[in-house]
Amino acid sequence: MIPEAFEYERVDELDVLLEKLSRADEIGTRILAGGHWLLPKMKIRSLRPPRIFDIGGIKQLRFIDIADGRVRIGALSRHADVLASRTIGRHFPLLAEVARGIGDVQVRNRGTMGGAIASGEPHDDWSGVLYALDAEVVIQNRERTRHASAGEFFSRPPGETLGSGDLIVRVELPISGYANARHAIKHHASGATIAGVTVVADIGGSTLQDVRVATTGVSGSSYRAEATENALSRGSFDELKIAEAAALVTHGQQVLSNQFGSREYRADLAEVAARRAMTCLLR
Amino acid sequence: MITEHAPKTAERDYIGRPLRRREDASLLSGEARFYEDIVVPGMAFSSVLRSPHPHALLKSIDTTEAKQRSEVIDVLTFGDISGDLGNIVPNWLVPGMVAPRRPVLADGVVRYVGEPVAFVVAKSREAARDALELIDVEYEQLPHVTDEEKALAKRAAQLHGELDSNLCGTYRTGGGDWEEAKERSDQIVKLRIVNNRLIPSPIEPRGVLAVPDQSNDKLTVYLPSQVPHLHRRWIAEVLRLSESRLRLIAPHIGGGFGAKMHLYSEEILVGYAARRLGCAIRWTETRSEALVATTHGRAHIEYIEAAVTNDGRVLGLCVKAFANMGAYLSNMATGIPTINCLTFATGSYNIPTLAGETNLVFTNTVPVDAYRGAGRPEAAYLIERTMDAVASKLGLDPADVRETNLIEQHEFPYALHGSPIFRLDSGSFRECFFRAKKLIDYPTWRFKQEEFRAEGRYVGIAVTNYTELCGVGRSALLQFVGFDRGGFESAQIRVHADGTVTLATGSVPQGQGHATSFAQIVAAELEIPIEDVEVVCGDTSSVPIGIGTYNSRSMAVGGSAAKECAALLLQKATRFAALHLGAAASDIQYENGLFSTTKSKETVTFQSVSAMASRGRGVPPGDSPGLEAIHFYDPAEMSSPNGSHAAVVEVDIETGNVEILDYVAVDDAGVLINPLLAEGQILGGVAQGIGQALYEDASYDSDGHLHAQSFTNYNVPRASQIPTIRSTFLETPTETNPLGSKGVGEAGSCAAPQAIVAAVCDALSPFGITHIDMPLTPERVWEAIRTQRGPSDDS
Repeated sequence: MIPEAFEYERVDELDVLLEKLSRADEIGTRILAGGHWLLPKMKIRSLRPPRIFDIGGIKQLRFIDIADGRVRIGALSRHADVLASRTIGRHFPLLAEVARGIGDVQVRNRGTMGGAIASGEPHDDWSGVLYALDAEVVIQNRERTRHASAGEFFSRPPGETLGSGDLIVRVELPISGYANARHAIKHHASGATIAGVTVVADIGGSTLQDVRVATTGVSGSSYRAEATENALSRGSFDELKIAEAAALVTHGQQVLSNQFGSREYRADLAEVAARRAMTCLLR
Repeated sequence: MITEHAPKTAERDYIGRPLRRREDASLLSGEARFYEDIVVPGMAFSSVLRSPHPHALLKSIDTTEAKQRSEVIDVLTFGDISGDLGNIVPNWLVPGMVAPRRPVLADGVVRYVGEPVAFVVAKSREAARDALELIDVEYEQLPHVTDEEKALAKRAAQLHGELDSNLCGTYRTGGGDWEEAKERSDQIVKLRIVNNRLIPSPIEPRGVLAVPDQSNDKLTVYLPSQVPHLHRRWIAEVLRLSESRLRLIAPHIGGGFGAKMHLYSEEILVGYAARRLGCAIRWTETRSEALVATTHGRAHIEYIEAAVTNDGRVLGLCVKAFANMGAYLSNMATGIPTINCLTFATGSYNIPTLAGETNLVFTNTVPVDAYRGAGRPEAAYLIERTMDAVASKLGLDPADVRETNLIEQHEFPYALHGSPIFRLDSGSFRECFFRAKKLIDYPTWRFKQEEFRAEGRYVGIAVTNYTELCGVGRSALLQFVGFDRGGFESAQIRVHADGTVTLATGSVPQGQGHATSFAQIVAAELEIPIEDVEVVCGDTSSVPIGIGTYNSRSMAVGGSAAKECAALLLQKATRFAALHLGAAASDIQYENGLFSTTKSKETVTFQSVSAMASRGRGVPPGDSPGLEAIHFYDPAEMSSPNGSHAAVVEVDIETGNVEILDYVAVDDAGVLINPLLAEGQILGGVAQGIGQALYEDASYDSDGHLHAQSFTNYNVPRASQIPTIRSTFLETPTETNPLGSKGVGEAGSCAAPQAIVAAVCDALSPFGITHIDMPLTPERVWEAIRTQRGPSDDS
């Protein structure tokens, strides 16, 4: 429970941090946000970063607001902030529901959305949900600010999107008014999502439009279940065959097998989660 | 002479009152001191290098680099200690069992992942931890075996060269004629069940602080121990130090569950190094280290045959068990799957015939020892699973099969399978069962079950029983079963000049609430306000030699010692009062703190007698000054608590998840000293029982490592996983001790597993599922359903 010695530096200003990150040439420099992913790993020494920047004090990264028809969530927003936010409650109650299911009170009060999506854990609950909600991840470095699309960021390990010197500064969700629903089946001991499926769609017409189905925990990274989306988009509302669409949720995917669940179990649960999420959406 | 009045107090009869715990204020405020809170100037810290392999030769150990790290004081390996220290030996060695040598640090061979290999002492915790990575050990891996059945195969890896095989020994017990029972039966019901290996997980991990006094050649050891005097004896023996020079203090303890009553290497190493290096040393177990550094529990496989008649009567039972000992024998290991389990294999039922056999087997795993219930949960589980198997085979209602076989009230005392020693002294077996059945509303749920099934929902109901013997005692008998601990308990009461009293008890709490319950016993016996009674325990320098807390014995044995001690004290106080009042002691009455005599109206208070005695005034002829008594209570026999627990569960057949919809606990632990604390024990025990049934899995992978690496995959149940438990008590007093109390500490963990597993299997009976081995994790349940259904064809 004692990490290897490391250099610790607290940085409270964003521009100072980005400057430091641009010059941080040491391999393994890590950013400490809420500490609920990094610190446990350091305590058991499965991670041994030589240097840590503690960014917990950068106030400008902790906010939730609306701009240009988009809900913006600062990267240092705690899970509890999402849960408590009236903006979230009005536009994306699903996010509040997800936040409520993360960890325990301590985790929700300390853990941040930016830290969670940067962890790249397959079971990170935000990734699949934000993917389905078509969220953009805003990434900043000393030179520039850019927007990574949901597909770009969530469909692969974050390390493939984040370059050296990059920091996730916020997440932006377009306010679409689409219906959404999620079902997640969690591992008892860890609380890790073994299989979670989020469904978003425009259910205003006689057929489903703009269907987005994304997963959590099913594969190494989140993915859009295109076969399921296609099945849901076909035909009229009353012809929808939810079970058939759900059965396609792992189609073409490498289903994960780990300590939280075997491949077979997880694939089965993904189908169950998909069916339950869709049923909930169309209820 | 004046007439005295005792101070007015509330109801003096403290027995049976649900008083709140007096110790909670200091525990909740953080004022209470645990071993980790004790800081000694100049204290050093330590860490243990553990084997990463299940079985390997230690080719070489190089500690040079570790010793060179700044702040490192010393690094010890077997070579450094071998001349000075003895081995760790078990103190319950059932006759016929063999104990292979167990050195304090590995000597040339490591036999399980986690076995201590080297010991680092450093000026900081950080340095002690860092130095572990600087020790260079060359291992040569050997074949290993972790399964208790496979370990008996001829070609299996062999653990101990000094033994012929991995068999520690075979224990046989029973009564009646099994062959004849089979002859008379209509059917033989067979089953194989696994009692899953568990990791005791007290909220406070183990640890130890040793403080040497070099000038006087003394050592003080702070240790969260359930058995302070025994621990002092064991540590002194291995250190080759006289017991009088070793003071052991058990401060506040955060849970034990059996795991804190065994002798471990760290306790010896810290004491040894403190004396050798001349500085105080602390060792603190980390949470993940605890998974392999502390003994495990259970780990049995049982093959059961029941000879039954077609109307559901069980005539006899044949049990063949394989018990995993781990790599070495821990303290009580051999007694648990043998005497503690097989003796109770017939459970709460009138089954006259038992043919029992347990094979104790060494494997490359963490040593297995007593864990809450220690053999009796395994026994209760095996017979209750048997009852369900019988019902299933015969197509009878499992509740009816139980009712058919339950011991009748008039059969008490009931000799277990004709045993001359082990008998169930008393109980309310049938009443508890009927009450549990009624409280859970068994017929209604049976009806609802059908309705739910029609909706595709799977609900299961079970009412199950348990009994056990606890309050271990009769020291003279225990020696014949290899139990080298003694079965008594000590009590000493000191009366101060102002009439307040201090009880010192050999029993020691890890959360049970001794400061409250023992004070109730003494206050009731002395008829004084409970505020006037202090309880001290856990310090070998202030408590007479005692045994400690395990086997649900604190109340039955320790409490009886306190009660009888108080009675002794009162006899002396009465003689003082008699002299004072000018009457014969036989004419003195005592009530509510007031001595009186029928001969006159004069009275004297307990307080005044205390004042006289403490000043040496008014001492009766033949008596000495001072009001103090010491007493050792040795129970003539053990007592048998019993109970019936009922559960209703719903299984999500798609995910395998089990939800407990209702849980009823009806328990009879004899006279309850404090019903509130007794209920707390039931709730905690049930929580651990539910943990075993549904969540906790300490299995090994094929590489000889535990699957569980932390609490992220070892699921000690969270509050959200424990349902509301509806607990009620019946009170059938036992005549085996003066309090009439039986044990209650282990009851819940003896009762819950079978209730939960039976309810889940009942829910899944439409799939033809009759048994699933614990823990019934969602994936295991899902797997069982899928196996029965065959692969789904709709996807």
